[in-house]
Amino acid sequence: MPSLSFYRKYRPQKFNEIIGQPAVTKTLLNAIENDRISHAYLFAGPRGTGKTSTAKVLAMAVNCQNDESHEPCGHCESCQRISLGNSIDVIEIDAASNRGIDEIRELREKVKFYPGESKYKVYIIDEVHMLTTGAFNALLKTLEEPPDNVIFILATTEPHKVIPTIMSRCQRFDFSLISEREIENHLEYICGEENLEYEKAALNLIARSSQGGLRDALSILDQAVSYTGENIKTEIIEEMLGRTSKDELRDLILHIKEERINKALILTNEILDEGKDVDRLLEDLKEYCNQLLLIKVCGIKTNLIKLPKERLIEMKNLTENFSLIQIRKIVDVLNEIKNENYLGGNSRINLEVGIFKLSDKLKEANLTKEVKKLKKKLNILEQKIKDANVPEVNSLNKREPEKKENKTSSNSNVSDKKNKIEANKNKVKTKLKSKELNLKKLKKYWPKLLTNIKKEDISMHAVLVEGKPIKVEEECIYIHFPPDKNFHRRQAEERKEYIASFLSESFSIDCQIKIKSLQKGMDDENEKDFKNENYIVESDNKKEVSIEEVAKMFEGKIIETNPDTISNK
Amino acid sequence: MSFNIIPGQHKTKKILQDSIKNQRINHAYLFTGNNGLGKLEMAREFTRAVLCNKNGVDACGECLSCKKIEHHNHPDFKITEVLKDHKRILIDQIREMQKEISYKPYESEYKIYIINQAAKMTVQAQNSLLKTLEEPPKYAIIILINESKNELIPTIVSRCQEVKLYNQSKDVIKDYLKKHYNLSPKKSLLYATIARGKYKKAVNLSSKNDFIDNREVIIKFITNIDKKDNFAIYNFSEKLVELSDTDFPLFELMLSLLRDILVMKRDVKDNIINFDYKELISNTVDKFDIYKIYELTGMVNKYNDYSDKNIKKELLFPSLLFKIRNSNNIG
Repeated sequence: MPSLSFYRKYRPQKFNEIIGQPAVTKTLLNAIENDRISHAYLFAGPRGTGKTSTAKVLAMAVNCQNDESHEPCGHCESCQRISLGNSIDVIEIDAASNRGIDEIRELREKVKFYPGESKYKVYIIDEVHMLTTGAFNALLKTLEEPPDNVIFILATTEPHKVIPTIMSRCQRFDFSLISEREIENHLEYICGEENLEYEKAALNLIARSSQGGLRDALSILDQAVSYTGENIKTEIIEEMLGRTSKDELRDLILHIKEERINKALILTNEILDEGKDVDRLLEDLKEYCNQLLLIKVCGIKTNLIKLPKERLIEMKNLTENFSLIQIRKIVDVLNEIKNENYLGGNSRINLEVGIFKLSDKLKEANLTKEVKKLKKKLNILEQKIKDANVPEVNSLNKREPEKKENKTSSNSNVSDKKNKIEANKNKVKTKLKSKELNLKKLKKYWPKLLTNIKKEDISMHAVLVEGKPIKVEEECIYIHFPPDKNFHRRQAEERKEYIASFLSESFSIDCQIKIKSLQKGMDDENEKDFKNENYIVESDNKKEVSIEEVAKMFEGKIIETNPDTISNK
Repeated sequence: MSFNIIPGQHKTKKILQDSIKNQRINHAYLFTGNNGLGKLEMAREFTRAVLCNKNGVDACGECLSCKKIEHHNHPDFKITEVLKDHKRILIDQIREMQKEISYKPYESEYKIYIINQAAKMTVQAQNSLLKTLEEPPKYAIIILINESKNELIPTIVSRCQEVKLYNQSKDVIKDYLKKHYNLSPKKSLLYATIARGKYKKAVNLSSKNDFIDNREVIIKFITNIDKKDNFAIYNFSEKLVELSDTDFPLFELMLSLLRDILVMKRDVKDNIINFDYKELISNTVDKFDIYKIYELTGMVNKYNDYSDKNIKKELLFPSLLFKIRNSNNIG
């Protein structure tokens, strides 16, 4: 006789033996406890999550002759019969084989009869998604109002194929995939029962490749036992599952990257000759690259990837060699190869051609990166040249002395910081005394200052744009913030020194910054200034500046003139 | 006859023989591996070993049971496959099998059912197999055979124990050809290289008399395609059309040729498939741009796909050849 495979041998007989579905088992147990058993259930969920097993346990539980607990006792006559599959009242129907309307009609005929020996007659209709539409509809009436003492349990992996009128007549339970941890624990338990020796890592590997299906895991365990005997070792499991070991993947990617095509080809051939198939290798490579991406972006401290720590560090080191774009390119090409394989042709040759392509694409990606870097540098350079040659401020400065008394050209240093050195050189100016910096001037250059600071530190700009210089006193510049901009004030306070150094550089003076909150009504004029974004500049000698001149100064256009605003000033 | 008729596959054989020895025979197996590795042969030898009256781990070949399987008249062994005039394995065939499987074995301890090319089962057929596959009668063993497990619905795969067959190394196949088919070492090596791990393919190629000649013609034509005029191309495509109706691996040959050009281009010398035409290929290297070759391989794959569909081959091949010629730097 064939030996009983683990997934049949260890089929759960009680609710508490069902792994990983606490929500389902608890609800069902409570239903039994409160005597609120529904007449129709729909169990939906992926393969190997315990749908059929739960259905059987439920059938046993409702018919158990032992009242001690709500779990089936497992040794009364009824339980025994059901678990052996020869109870006359628990009928398991394979809907995939009996999918026609005739089978359902037959079922309807039989439903009428009272249970022979147990309390309830339970119909377990497995793979119910395979029923034809006719069959589904024939079932509707029976499912809605079956005779007393009849329970229907429908089980399916594809609930979307079940028509909604069936769905609405059933209590639906969704079975979720089982976590690796739970599978691992269960494998450990079975190994204990079977007196198998095992390495924990090996069981983990099995759990991982089962992808949430307990039956898959037990099938692999079965396979492992017939492959390795009583001792389950990690390498052997790796070999058996045909998973390409991580080292090989790493070497392969590195070979490709470093353009050691010959080595890459030889390694691929070795891997394939060992019997790994091309698709599997492609999948493994993709998964590996995906992990590299995650590590590259998120670092290794996140728990996104469940790997031993040493492995993670190793991969982290590997990511240093690649740019994000490169890794993405690898995945792209791998997908291309997969698509070509799908068209037919020889997948192995496609893979080999793909390796050539990969190394070229990696080079390309590297080039794009270089080009981008160069472009960026070029942009900065261009900006610098532009700033140095035709800065707006310079044109401002030329006009300055004509209008203002005591003007010194050194004030032009408001212009871009990068400009500063040059400007200093040209003007050979001693440092200004702080007195020479007055509020008017400061206010005038404030917008320009802000744009300059934006280039350096955009967040600082965002903070300062809310503030306003109020007073210049000795070596102190007072910047005030309106009361509702407390956040900005605090930020400015924190980075006072930075602002100070920026201003000092711009004006070539030593200055300090004091940040204050503007009290309401404290300074009417200032408040107005807040509302009025455009600073109106008054010359020192009270000479009227024509609007046209202002426009010229700012290289702007006059859109509207409002005499009120001007006269206010 | 025994497991030895399949070259290599030591690991797989060991798994199967150990399971017989340890009495851990599963009720459902899924044999996977590329076509041409001998999956069906492996399944049949496994069956013979299991049913053999001598209770060894390999078929004795002499007992009644072994002989019956050899002559395809063992009552407890059946292969289900695609029927003639059909493209799929039908649900009725599976129902039939399920009915038969419920009868007790006639003369052996086991009843063994093989489903060849299991992915050819319709979705309904696959689903209807599920319950039987999960809990067949105690004496039953069901062996599914398919190239990859991904083509089957996951609920089938999770019920089976997977047994993998692996591509075999060049040497294994070379020795096999030498030993069983009395081929010269040079020819054995050639077939083994082209077959790339699949012994049945090597055997198949070696049994065709005109393979070598056709191959020569094609390689010579494509490597010199820049010198061919339109007339020559049309003429040649007629031959290709003819060949494509036989089981000559036309597209594969073209792919391998392009691959070899790539290999030569990158100076990876000892890794060439069509090694007997190394000279000719190395002359072609300068004629192709490397990116053109990537394009062409994609093209060949696409045309391969087209040729399986309803597209007139008389148009297909000239088009492909022209594309190859146009990709030539000189042409």
